[in-house]
Amino acid sequence: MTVQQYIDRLNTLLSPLNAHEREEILDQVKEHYAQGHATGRSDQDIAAALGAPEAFAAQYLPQGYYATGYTVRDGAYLRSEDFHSAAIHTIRVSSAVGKLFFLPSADDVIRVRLSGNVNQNQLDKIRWECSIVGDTLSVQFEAFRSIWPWIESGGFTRLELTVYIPLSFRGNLFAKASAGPMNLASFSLGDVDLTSSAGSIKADRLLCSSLVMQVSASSVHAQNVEASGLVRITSSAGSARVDELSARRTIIKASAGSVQVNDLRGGELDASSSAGSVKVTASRLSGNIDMTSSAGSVTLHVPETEAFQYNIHVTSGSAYCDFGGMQTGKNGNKQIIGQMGSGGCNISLRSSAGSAALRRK
Amino acid sequence: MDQQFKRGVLALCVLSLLEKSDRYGYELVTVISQNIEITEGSVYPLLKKLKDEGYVTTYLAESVGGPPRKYYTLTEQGKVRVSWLRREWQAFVDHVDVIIKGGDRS
Repeated sequence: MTVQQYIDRLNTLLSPLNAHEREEILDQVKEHYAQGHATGRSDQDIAAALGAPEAFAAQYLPQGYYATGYTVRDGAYLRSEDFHSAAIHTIRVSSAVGKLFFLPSADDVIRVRLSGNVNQNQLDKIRWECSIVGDTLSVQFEAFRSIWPWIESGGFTRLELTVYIPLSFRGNLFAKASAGPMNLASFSLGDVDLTSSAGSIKADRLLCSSLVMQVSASSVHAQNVEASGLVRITSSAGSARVDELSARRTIIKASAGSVQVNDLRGGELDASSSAGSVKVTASRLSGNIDMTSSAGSVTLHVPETEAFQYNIHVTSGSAYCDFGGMQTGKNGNKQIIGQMGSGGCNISLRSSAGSAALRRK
Repeated sequence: MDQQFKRGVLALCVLSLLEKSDRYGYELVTVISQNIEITEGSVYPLLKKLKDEGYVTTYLAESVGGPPRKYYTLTEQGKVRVSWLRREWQAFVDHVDVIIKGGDRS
Protein backbone atom coordinates (compact mmCIF):
# COMPACT_ATOMS: atom_id res chain seq x y z
CA MET A 1 0.00 0.00 0.00
CA THR A 2 1.49 3.33 -1.07
CA VAL A 3 1.27 6.55 0.95
CA GLN A 4 -1.46 7.84 -1.33
CA GLN A 5 -3.49 4.64 -1.07
CA TYR A 6 -3.20 4.69 2.70
CA ILE A 7 -4.21 8.35 2.89
CA ASP A 8 -7.13 7.91 0.48
CA ARG A 9 -8.46 4.92 2.36
CA LEU A 10 -8.14 6.75 5.63
CA ASN A 11 -9.89 9.76 4.21
CA THR A 12 -12.87 7.60 3.31
CA LEU A 13 -12.94 5.81 6.63
CA LEU A 14 -12.77 9.06 8.57
CA SER A 15 -15.64 10.64 6.67
CA PRO A 16 -17.85 10.67 9.78
CA LEU A 17 -15.53 13.32 11.22
CA ASN A 18 -15.63 16.94 10.17
CA ALA A 19 -13.23 18.24 7.53
CA HIS A 20 -10.99 20.03 9.99
CA GLU A 21 -10.44 17.03 12.24
CA ARG A 22 -9.96 14.75 9.28
CA GLU A 23 -7.37 17.02 7.73
CA GLU A 24 -5.47 17.23 10.99
CA ILE A 25 -5.25 13.46 11.20
CA LEU A 26 -4.27 13.05 7.57
CA ASP A 27 -1.58 15.75 7.91
CA GLN A 28 -0.15 13.92 10.87
CA VAL A 29 -0.03 10.67 8.94
CA LYS A 30 1.62 12.41 5.98
CA GLU A 31 4.22 13.84 8.35
CA HIS A 32 4.77 10.39 9.78
CA TYR A 33 5.40 9.01 6.30
CA ALA A 34 7.76 11.88 5.44
CA GLN A 35 9.76 11.27 8.62
CA GLY A 36 9.81 7.55 7.95
CA HIS A 37 11.06 8.10 4.41
CA ALA A 38 13.79 10.37 5.75
CA THR A 39 15.14 7.48 7.81
CA GLY A 40 15.06 5.18 4.81
CA ARG A 41 11.87 3.25 5.52
CA SER A 42 9.64 2.07 2.69
CA ASP A 43 5.91 2.78 2.28
CA GLN A 44 5.17 -0.86 3.00
CA ASP A 45 7.20 -0.88 6.17
CA ILE A 46 5.58 2.29 7.47
CA ALA A 47 2.08 1.12 6.58
CA ALA A 48 2.62 -2.22 8.29
CA ALA A 49 3.81 -0.55 11.49
CA LEU A 50 0.92 1.92 11.51
CA GLY A 51 -1.55 -0.91 11.20
CA ALA A 52 -4.41 -1.38 8.73
CA PRO A 53 -6.19 1.88 7.83
CA GLU A 54 -9.42 0.38 9.19
CA ALA A 55 -7.87 -0.27 12.60
CA PHE A 56 -6.13 3.07 12.60
CA ALA A 57 -9.28 5.01 11.67
CA ALA A 58 -11.41 3.15 14.20
CA GLN A 59 -9.36 4.66 17.01
CA TYR A 60 -10.60 8.12 16.11
CA LEU A 61 -14.24 7.17 15.94
CA PRO A 62 -16.75 6.35 18.67
CA GLN A 63 -16.30 2.82 19.91
CA GLY A 64 -17.84 0.17 17.72
CA TYR A 65 -18.57 2.68 14.99
CA TYR A 66 -17.67 0.43 12.14
CA ALA A 67 -18.37 -2.78 13.97
CA THR A 68 -22.01 -2.10 14.77
CA GLY A 69 -22.98 -0.35 11.55
CA TYR A 70 -24.30 3.11 11.25
CA THR A 71 -27.95 2.94 11.97
CA VAL A 72 -29.50 4.50 15.01
CA ARG A 73 -32.99 3.14 14.66
CA ASP A 74 -34.63 3.54 18.00
CA GLY A 75 -32.38 6.19 19.41
CA ALA A 76 -32.40 9.84 18.55
CA TYR A 77 -33.51 10.65 15.05
CA LEU A 78 -31.61 13.19 13.04
CA ARG A 79 -34.90 14.64 11.91
CA SER A 80 -38.47 13.71 12.45
CA GLU A 81 -41.95 14.92 11.55
CA ASP A 82 -45.43 13.55 12.23
CA PHE A 83 -48.67 13.97 10.28
CA HIS A 84 -52.14 12.85 11.09
CA SER A 85 -53.25 10.61 8.27
CA ALA A 86 -56.99 11.42 8.32
CA ALA A 87 -56.87 14.19 5.70
CA ILE A 88 -54.11 12.64 3.59
CA HIS A 89 -54.91 10.56 0.57
CA THR A 90 -51.60 10.48 -1.26
CA ILE A 91 -48.03 10.18 0.02
CA ARG A 92 -45.33 11.34 -2.34
CA VAL A 93 -41.70 10.74 -1.41
CA SER A 94 -38.68 11.79 -3.36
CA SER A 95 -35.34 10.81 -1.92
CA ALA A 96 -31.97 11.61 -3.40
CA VAL A 97 -29.78 10.38 -0.63
CA GLY A 98 -30.30 7.45 1.67
CA LYS A 99 -32.08 4.18 1.93
CA LEU A 100 -35.82 4.48 1.83
CA PHE A 101 -38.12 2.34 3.97
CA PHE A 102 -41.87 2.15 4.23
CA LEU A 103 -43.02 0.42 7.36
CA PRO A 104 -46.41 0.11 9.05
CA SER A 105 -47.27 2.23 12.07
CA ALA A 106 -49.73 0.96 14.63
CA ASP A 107 -51.75 4.16 15.07
CA ASP A 108 -53.07 6.66 12.53
CA VAL A 109 -50.02 8.90 12.35
CA ILE A 110 -47.70 9.11 9.37
CA ARG A 111 -44.18 9.44 10.73
CA VAL A 112 -41.28 10.60 8.65
CA ARG A 113 -37.96 9.75 10.26
CA LEU A 114 -34.38 10.29 9.29
CA SER A 115 -31.85 8.16 11.07
CA GLY A 116 -28.26 7.24 10.52
CA ASN A 117 -24.81 8.23 11.48
CA VAL A 118 -23.34 11.15 9.60
CA ASN A 119 -21.48 14.22 10.71
CA GLN A 120 -23.00 17.66 10.98
CA ASN A 121 -21.25 18.81 7.84
CA GLN A 122 -22.95 16.14 5.77
CA LEU A 123 -26.28 16.69 7.47
CA ASP A 124 -26.08 20.39 6.66
CA LYS A 125 -25.80 19.50 3.01
CA ILE A 126 -29.05 17.62 2.99
CA ARG A 127 -32.36 19.33 2.62
CA TRP A 128 -35.56 17.81 3.76
CA GLU A 129 -38.95 19.27 3.33
CA CYS A 130 -42.37 17.91 4.22
CA SER A 131 -45.44 19.72 3.02
CA ILE A 132 -49.13 19.09 2.66
CA VAL A 133 -50.91 20.46 -0.38
CA GLY A 134 -54.55 19.48 -0.65
CA ASP A 135 -54.71 15.84 0.39
CA THR A 136 -51.11 15.08 -0.62
CA LEU A 137 -48.21 14.79 1.75
CA SER A 138 -44.93 15.46 -0.03
CA VAL A 139 -41.57 14.50 1.42
CA GLN A 140 -38.56 15.83 -0.43
CA PHE A 141 -35.13 14.78 0.53
CA GLU A 142 -32.26 16.14 -1.50
CA ALA A 143 -28.54 16.68 -1.30
CA PHE A 144 -26.40 19.66 -2.22
CA ARG A 145 -24.08 19.17 -5.12
CA SER A 146 -21.00 19.44 -2.93
CA ILE A 147 -21.68 16.09 -1.30
CA TRP A 148 -22.48 14.19 -4.46
CA PRO A 149 -19.03 12.59 -4.44
CA TRP A 150 -19.79 11.40 -0.95
CA ILE A 151 -23.06 9.92 -2.14
CA GLU A 152 -21.45 8.32 -5.15
CA SER A 153 -18.77 6.76 -3.00
CA GLY A 154 -21.49 4.99 -1.06
CA GLY A 155 -21.75 7.42 1.86
CA PHE A 156 -25.51 7.66 1.39
CA THR A 157 -25.94 4.20 2.87
CA ARG A 158 -25.44 5.78 6.27
CA LEU A 159 -28.76 7.55 6.04
CA GLU A 160 -32.15 5.96 6.31
CA LEU A 161 -35.38 7.70 5.60
CA THR A 162 -38.26 5.73 7.02
CA VAL A 163 -41.89 6.60 6.47
CA TYR A 164 -44.21 4.85 8.90
CA ILE A 165 -47.61 4.53 7.32
CA PRO A 166 -50.73 3.56 9.30
CA LEU A 167 -52.03 0.10 8.50
CA SER A 168 -55.43 1.75 8.02
CA PHE A 169 -54.11 4.04 5.27
CA ARG A 170 -55.77 3.16 1.96
CA GLY A 171 -54.43 6.01 -0.16
CA ASN A 172 -51.78 6.16 -2.85
CA LEU A 173 -48.04 5.94 -2.45
CA PHE A 174 -45.64 7.41 -4.98
CA ALA A 175 -41.95 7.10 -4.21
CA LYS A 176 -38.83 7.95 -6.11
CA ALA A 177 -35.28 7.16 -4.97
CA SER A 178 -32.10 8.17 -6.73
CA ALA A 179 -29.25 6.54 -4.93
CA GLY A 180 -30.39 4.03 -2.40
CA PRO A 181 -32.51 0.93 -2.16
CA MET A 182 -36.19 1.03 -1.34
CA ASN A 183 -38.10 -1.35 0.89
CA LEU A 184 -41.78 -1.65 1.56
CA ALA A 185 -43.71 -4.13 3.65
CA SER A 186 -47.22 -5.01 4.75
CA PHE A 187 -49.62 -2.53 3.28
CA SER A 188 -53.04 -2.28 1.83
CA LEU A 189 -52.97 0.72 -0.46
CA GLY A 190 -54.47 2.34 -3.53
CA ASP A 191 -52.15 3.09 -6.42
CA VAL A 192 -48.49 2.40 -5.72
CA ASP A 193 -45.67 3.71 -7.89
CA LEU A 194 -42.06 3.03 -6.90
CA THR A 195 -39.11 4.19 -8.97
CA SER A 196 -35.42 3.85 -8.24
CA SER A 197 -32.46 4.87 -10.37
CA ALA A 198 -29.48 3.23 -8.81
CA GLY A 199 -30.92 1.14 -6.01
CA SER A 200 -33.05 -1.95 -5.83
CA ILE A 201 -36.70 -2.15 -4.85
CA LYS A 202 -38.21 -4.75 -2.58
CA ALA A 203 -41.86 -5.05 -1.72
CA ASP A 204 -43.38 -7.64 0.56
CA ARG A 205 -47.03 -8.31 1.37
CA LEU A 206 -48.75 -5.65 -0.63
CA LEU A 207 -52.42 -5.34 -1.41
CA CYS A 208 -53.19 -2.51 -3.83
CA SER A 209 -55.27 -1.29 -6.73
CA SER A 210 -52.29 -0.90 -9.03
CA LEU A 211 -48.56 -1.27 -8.74
CA VAL A 212 -45.68 0.16 -10.75
CA MET A 213 -42.10 -0.76 -9.90
CA GLN A 214 -39.36 0.63 -12.01
CA VAL A 215 -35.59 0.34 -11.59
CA SER A 216 -32.71 1.28 -13.84
CA ALA A 217 -29.50 -0.13 -12.55
CA SER A 218 -30.62 -2.66 -9.99
CA SER A 219 -33.12 -5.43 -9.43
CA VAL A 220 -36.74 -5.62 -8.33
CA HIS A 221 -38.20 -8.20 -6.02
CA ALA A 222 -41.84 -8.30 -5.05
CA GLN A 223 -43.38 -10.89 -2.83
CA ASN A 224 -46.98 -11.62 -2.06
CA VAL A 225 -48.61 -8.99 -4.21
CA GLU A 226 -52.32 -8.76 -4.83
CA ALA A 227 -53.52 -6.05 -7.17
CA SER A 228 -57.08 -5.49 -8.35
CA GLY A 229 -55.72 -3.64 -11.38
CA LEU A 230 -52.50 -3.47 -13.32
CA VAL A 231 -49.02 -4.45 -12.13
CA ARG A 232 -46.16 -3.11 -14.20
CA ILE A 233 -42.57 -4.04 -13.34
CA THR A 234 -39.58 -2.82 -15.34
CA SER A 235 -35.85 -3.24 -14.92
CA SER A 236 -33.23 -1.98 -17.36
CA ALA A 237 -30.04 -3.50 -16.12
CA GLY A 238 -31.16 -5.82 -13.34
CA SER A 239 -33.50 -8.72 -12.91
CA ALA A 240 -37.17 -8.73 -11.97
CA ARG A 241 -38.68 -11.32 -9.69
CA VAL A 242 -42.15 -11.75 -8.26
CA ASP A 243 -43.24 -14.45 -5.86
CA GLU A 244 -46.94 -15.08 -5.26
CA LEU A 245 -48.63 -12.68 -7.59
CA SER A 246 -52.24 -12.08 -8.32
CA ALA A 247 -53.36 -9.17 -10.48
CA ARG A 248 -55.89 -8.42 -13.18
CA ARG A 249 -53.03 -7.83 -15.59
CA THR A 250 -49.25 -7.96 -15.12
CA ILE A 251 -46.54 -6.63 -17.39
CA ILE A 252 -42.94 -7.47 -16.50
CA LYS A 253 -40.10 -6.26 -18.64
CA ALA A 254 -36.34 -6.62 -18.23
CA SER A 255 -33.68 -5.58 -20.70
CA ALA A 256 -30.44 -7.09 -19.54
CA GLY A 257 -31.59 -9.24 -16.64
CA SER A 258 -33.94 -12.15 -16.21
CA VAL A 259 -37.63 -12.25 -15.36
CA GLN A 260 -39.00 -14.71 -12.89
CA VAL A 261 -42.50 -15.23 -11.56
CA ASN A 262 -42.96 -17.91 -8.96
CA ASP A 263 -46.54 -18.81 -8.26
CA LEU A 264 -48.69 -16.75 -10.57
CA ARG A 265 -52.16 -16.92 -9.08
CA GLY A 266 -54.16 -15.70 -12.02
CA GLY A 267 -54.62 -12.73 -14.27
CA GLU A 268 -53.17 -11.81 -17.60
CA LEU A 269 -49.40 -11.89 -17.85
CA ASP A 270 -47.05 -10.30 -20.30
CA ALA A 271 -43.42 -11.12 -19.41
CA SER A 272 -40.42 -10.31 -21.56
CA SER A 273 -36.66 -9.89 -21.49
CA SER A 274 -34.20 -8.92 -24.20
CA ALA A 275 -31.03 -10.56 -23.00
CA GLY A 276 -32.18 -12.65 -20.04
CA SER A 277 -34.38 -15.65 -19.53
CA VAL A 278 -38.08 -15.58 -18.67
CA LYS A 279 -39.38 -18.15 -16.25
CA VAL A 280 -42.91 -18.40 -14.90
CA THR A 281 -44.67 -20.91 -12.71
CA ALA A 282 -48.45 -20.60 -12.61
CA SER A 283 -50.64 -22.29 -10.03
CA ARG A 284 -53.80 -21.31 -11.83
CA LEU A 285 -54.77 -19.65 -15.10
CA SER A 286 -57.36 -16.95 -15.51
CA GLY A 287 -55.92 -14.89 -18.34
CA ASN A 288 -53.70 -15.03 -21.39
CA ILE A 289 -49.99 -15.53 -20.88
CA ASP A 290 -47.48 -14.05 -23.27
CA MET A 291 -43.77 -14.67 -22.67
CA THR A 292 -40.93 -13.58 -24.94
CA SER A 293 -37.13 -13.36 -24.89
CA SER A 294 -34.70 -12.38 -27.62
CA ALA A 295 -31.51 -13.97 -26.39
CA GLY A 296 -32.62 -16.05 -23.40
CA SER A 297 -34.83 -19.04 -22.85
CA VAL A 298 -38.53 -18.99 -22.02
CA THR A 299 -40.11 -21.49 -19.62
CA LEU A 300 -43.65 -21.77 -18.31
CA HIS A 301 -44.94 -24.32 -15.82
CA VAL A 302 -48.72 -24.81 -15.68
CA PRO A 303 -50.97 -27.37 -13.97
CA GLU A 304 -52.36 -29.85 -16.46
CA THR A 305 -55.80 -29.49 -14.94
CA GLU A 306 -56.18 -26.03 -16.46
CA ALA A 307 -57.77 -25.41 -19.85
CA PHE A 308 -55.74 -23.48 -22.42
CA GLN A 309 -54.43 -23.40 -25.96
CA TYR A 310 -50.78 -22.83 -26.62
CA ASN A 311 -48.38 -21.60 -29.24
CA ILE A 312 -44.64 -22.13 -28.76
CA HIS A 313 -42.43 -20.48 -31.30
CA VAL A 314 -38.60 -20.45 -31.53
CA THR A 315 -36.33 -19.11 -34.25
CA SER A 316 -33.03 -20.83 -33.60
CA GLY A 317 -33.40 -22.65 -30.25
CA SER A 318 -35.40 -25.73 -29.37
CA ALA A 319 -39.06 -25.99 -28.42
CA TYR A 320 -40.44 -28.38 -25.77
CA CYS A 321 -43.92 -29.24 -24.65
CA ASP A 322 -45.07 -31.66 -21.94
CA PHE A 323 -48.60 -31.70 -23.36
CA GLY A 324 -48.01 -33.13 -26.80
CA GLY A 325 -49.21 -30.74 -29.44
CA MET A 326 -48.54 -30.50 -33.10
CA GLN A 327 -45.08 -29.55 -34.18
CA THR A 328 -44.37 -27.77 -37.43
CA GLY A 329 -41.24 -26.40 -39.06
CA LYS A 330 -37.62 -27.44 -38.74
CA ASN A 331 -34.08 -26.10 -39.02
CA GLY A 332 -34.53 -23.96 -35.97
CA ASN A 333 -37.69 -22.17 -36.91
CA LYS A 334 -40.10 -24.36 -34.98
CA GLN A 335 -43.61 -24.03 -33.71
CA ILE A 336 -45.72 -26.22 -31.44
CA ILE A 337 -49.45 -25.64 -31.28
CA GLY A 338 -51.97 -27.45 -29.12
CA GLN A 339 -54.85 -27.32 -26.67
CA MET A 340 -55.59 -28.64 -23.19
CA GLY A 341 -59.11 -29.31 -22.01
CA SER A 342 -61.70 -27.13 -23.63
CA GLY A 343 -59.14 -24.39 -24.29
CA GLY A 344 -59.68 -20.87 -22.97
CA CYS A 345 -56.61 -18.91 -22.03
CA ASN A 346 -54.04 -18.31 -24.72
CA ILE A 347 -50.44 -19.16 -23.93
CA SER A 348 -47.75 -17.83 -26.20
CA LEU A 349 -44.06 -18.58 -25.66
CA ARG A 350 -41.51 -17.08 -27.99
CA SER A 351 -37.72 -16.94 -28.12
CA SER A 352 -35.39 -15.83 -30.89
CA ALA A 353 -32.03 -17.19 -29.89
CA GLY A 354 -32.99 -19.34 -26.88
CA SER A 355 -35.26 -22.29 -26.28
CA ALA A 356 -38.91 -22.24 -25.24
CA ALA A 357 -40.60 -24.82 -23.02
CA LEU A 358 -44.10 -25.43 -21.74
CA ARG A 359 -43.95 -27.74 -18.74
CA ARG A 360 -46.32 -29.55 -16.45
CA LYS A 361 -46.30 -28.10 -12.97
CA MET B 1 -1.62 -7.34 27.47
CA ASP B 2 -5.06 -5.86 27.98
CA GLN B 3 -5.69 -3.07 25.47
CA GLN B 4 -7.21 -0.69 27.99
CA PHE B 5 -4.28 -1.19 30.31
CA LYS B 6 -1.80 -0.75 27.50
CA ARG B 7 -3.42 2.51 26.47
CA GLY B 8 -3.19 3.83 30.01
CA VAL B 9 0.50 2.96 30.17
CA LEU B 10 1.05 4.49 26.74
CA ALA B 11 -0.48 7.78 27.91
CA LEU B 12 1.90 7.79 30.86
CA CYS B 13 4.88 7.18 28.55
CA VAL B 14 3.90 9.93 26.14
CA LEU B 15 3.25 12.48 28.87
CA SER B 16 6.48 11.59 30.67
CA LEU B 17 8.50 12.06 27.49
CA LEU B 18 6.85 15.42 26.87
CA GLU B 19 7.58 16.47 30.43
CA LYS B 20 11.28 16.45 29.57
CA SER B 21 11.06 18.17 26.20
CA ASP B 22 8.69 18.99 23.38
CA ARG B 23 8.67 16.32 20.71
CA TYR B 24 7.11 15.68 17.33
CA GLY B 25 4.93 12.68 16.57
CA TYR B 26 7.39 10.48 14.77
CA GLU B 27 9.96 11.01 17.51
CA LEU B 28 7.49 9.90 20.18
CA VAL B 29 6.50 6.86 18.13
CA THR B 30 10.14 5.86 17.62
CA VAL B 31 11.25 6.28 21.22
CA ILE B 32 8.27 4.38 22.60
CA SER B 33 8.32 1.56 20.06
CA GLN B 34 12.01 1.01 20.77
CA ASN B 35 11.11 0.19 24.35
CA ILE B 36 7.61 -1.22 24.30
CA GLU B 37 5.91 -3.37 21.72
CA ILE B 38 3.18 -1.16 20.30
CA THR B 39 1.49 -0.52 17.00
CA GLU B 40 2.87 2.76 15.77
CA GLY B 41 -0.64 3.64 14.74
CA SER B 42 -1.82 3.72 18.33
CA VAL B 43 0.26 6.76 19.31
CA TYR B 44 -1.40 9.34 17.06
CA PRO B 45 -4.97 8.71 18.16
CA LEU B 46 -3.73 8.92 21.73
CA LEU B 47 -2.02 12.24 21.03
CA LYS B 48 -5.25 13.60 19.60
CA LYS B 49 -7.16 12.40 22.64
CA LEU B 50 -4.65 14.03 24.98
CA LYS B 51 -4.98 17.22 22.99
CA ASP B 52 -8.79 17.09 23.09
CA GLU B 53 -8.59 16.60 26.85
CA GLY B 54 -6.32 19.62 27.18
CA TYR B 55 -3.22 17.83 28.45
CA VAL B 56 -1.11 18.76 25.44
CA THR B 57 -1.10 21.43 22.75
CA THR B 58 0.71 21.56 19.43
CA TYR B 59 2.74 23.99 17.38
CA LEU B 60 4.41 23.79 14.01
CA ALA B 61 8.17 24.22 13.67
CA GLU B 62 10.51 24.05 10.72
CA SER B 63 12.78 21.09 10.38
CA VAL B 64 16.16 21.06 8.75
CA GLY B 65 15.73 20.08 5.13
CA GLY B 66 12.22 18.72 5.52
CA PRO B 67 8.58 19.68 5.88
CA PRO B 68 7.53 21.44 9.11
CA ARG B 69 6.81 19.19 12.04
CA LYS B 70 4.01 19.31 14.52
CA TYR B 71 5.45 19.46 18.02
CA TYR B 72 3.56 18.39 21.10
CA THR B 73 4.00 20.24 24.37
CA LEU B 74 2.60 19.65 27.82
CA THR B 75 0.06 22.11 29.28
CA GLU B 76 -0.15 23.00 32.99
CA GLN B 77 -3.04 20.57 33.20
CA GLY B 78 -0.87 17.96 31.51
CA LYS B 79 1.87 18.40 34.06
CA VAL B 80 -0.58 17.74 36.88
CA ARG B 81 -1.93 14.77 34.98
CA VAL B 82 1.45 13.16 34.45
CA SER B 83 2.48 13.39 38.07
CA TRP B 84 -0.85 11.88 39.09
CA LEU B 85 -0.50 9.05 36.55
CA ARG B 86 3.03 8.39 37.74
CA ARG B 87 1.91 8.08 41.36
CA GLU B 88 -0.84 5.66 40.28
CA TRP B 89 1.63 3.62 38.28
CA GLN B 90 4.10 3.48 41.16
CA ALA B 91 1.42 2.36 43.58
CA PHE B 92 0.28 -0.28 41.12
CA VAL B 93 3.79 -1.61 40.59
CA ASP B 94 4.41 -1.71 44.34
CA HIS B 95 1.26 -3.76 44.92
CA VAL B 96 2.13 -6.17 42.12
CA ASP B 97 5.66 -6.45 43.51
CA VAL B 98 4.36 -7.45 46.90
CA ILE B 99 2.29 -10.21 45.34
CA ILE B 100 4.88 -11.62 42.95
CA LYS B 101 7.54 -11.65 45.64
CA GLY B 102 5.26 -13.92 47.62
CA GLY B 103 4.50 -11.45 50.35
CA ASP B 104 1.16 -10.94 51.94
CA ARG B 105 0.71 -7.84 54.01
CA SER B 106 -2.46 -8.98 55.73
